[in-house]
Amino acid sequence: MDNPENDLKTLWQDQPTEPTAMSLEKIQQRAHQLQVRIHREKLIVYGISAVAIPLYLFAVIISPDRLATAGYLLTLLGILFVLYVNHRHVQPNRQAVARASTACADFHRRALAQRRDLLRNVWLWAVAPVMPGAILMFIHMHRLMASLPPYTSVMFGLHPSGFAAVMDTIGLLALFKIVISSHWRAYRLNRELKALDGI
Amino acid sequence: MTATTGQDQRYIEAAAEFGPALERLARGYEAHPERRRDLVQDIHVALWRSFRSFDARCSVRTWVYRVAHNTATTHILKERRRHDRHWTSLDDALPSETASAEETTHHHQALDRLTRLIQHLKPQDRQIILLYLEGLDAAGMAEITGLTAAHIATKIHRIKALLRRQFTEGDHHG
Repeated sequence: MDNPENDLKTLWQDQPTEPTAMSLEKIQQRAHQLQVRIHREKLIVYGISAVAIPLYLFAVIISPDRLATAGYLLTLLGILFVLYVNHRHVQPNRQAVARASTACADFHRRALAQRRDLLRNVWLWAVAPVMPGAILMFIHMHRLMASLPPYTSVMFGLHPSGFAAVMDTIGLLALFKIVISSHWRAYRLNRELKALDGI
Repeated sequence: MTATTGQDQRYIEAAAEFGPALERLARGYEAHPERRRDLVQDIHVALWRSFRSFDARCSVRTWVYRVAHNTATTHILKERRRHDRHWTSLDDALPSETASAEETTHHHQALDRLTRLIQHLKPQDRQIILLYLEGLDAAGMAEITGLTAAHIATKIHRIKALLRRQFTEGDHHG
């Protein structure tokens, strides 16, 4: 190639392309499908909540133990908060406008920053809201288990309180892993962002 | 003319003018044919949607390329989360496989190599090389990407060096 840059430009621009046969009807249909998919995802979350919320509410009303009642109530408030955050995050129309009005470098930077913040704050918006209620319920559960006769066994010869402690530890380790891996991914995105800012 | 027909009309005109360029752009972002077809369709949907708020503060060309590159960038960032892919910068991109003189003179292979090279670049470098190959000038590229003209000039210089390394040194080595 004598002049590779110009030859490559010509080569690139002259490559055969398949015509994207998308009629307006098809585009509108696909846009509608996208909207339906987002609504369906939201509906699944709302459906689960529609079952969980009355159950917790019922538990709040009938529970004779104050500690358990407080635990159920706080968990219920936590679920409502997580729902609110989830509802606010999914706004497809705003995204469509942002894609057109934002220059590519800023858009890329924003996409990375948004993802980084989401990962960094996973503890705050998904775990922390339900933690106070969960802790109270754990305490209540342990008290209940401890009150059982000493030779009661649920699994592997463990007393219910010991079994509950093992389950708590597994749950805490799983939470710890989620938070640590989210922070690690956020750290990597932050490095990428710093490299972009340095340009 | 109602708002909806204005949006449709603008889209039809833009798709007719930039359709092939959008196809080529998608090739630079996605190697898998089915996912690429999906990406092209996503770009068209995003474009149609975006024209509802087109305010003529920039040219249609700038608008179209911004929507297309931003949609494609979102696509590759999502793909990276799924497959943990790594990208290289213009400076770090090494000549892929050593090509023989016969290979590089064959347009098809040269185009394949060029496409593979683009697909491994970081999003920003990918945007610039694609706009460069589409024949846009530095000012047009700066408006679309939001980078300064000086920065674009530096990048173009590196792109030219990279292309020379990839396509002329390969000839000599072969």
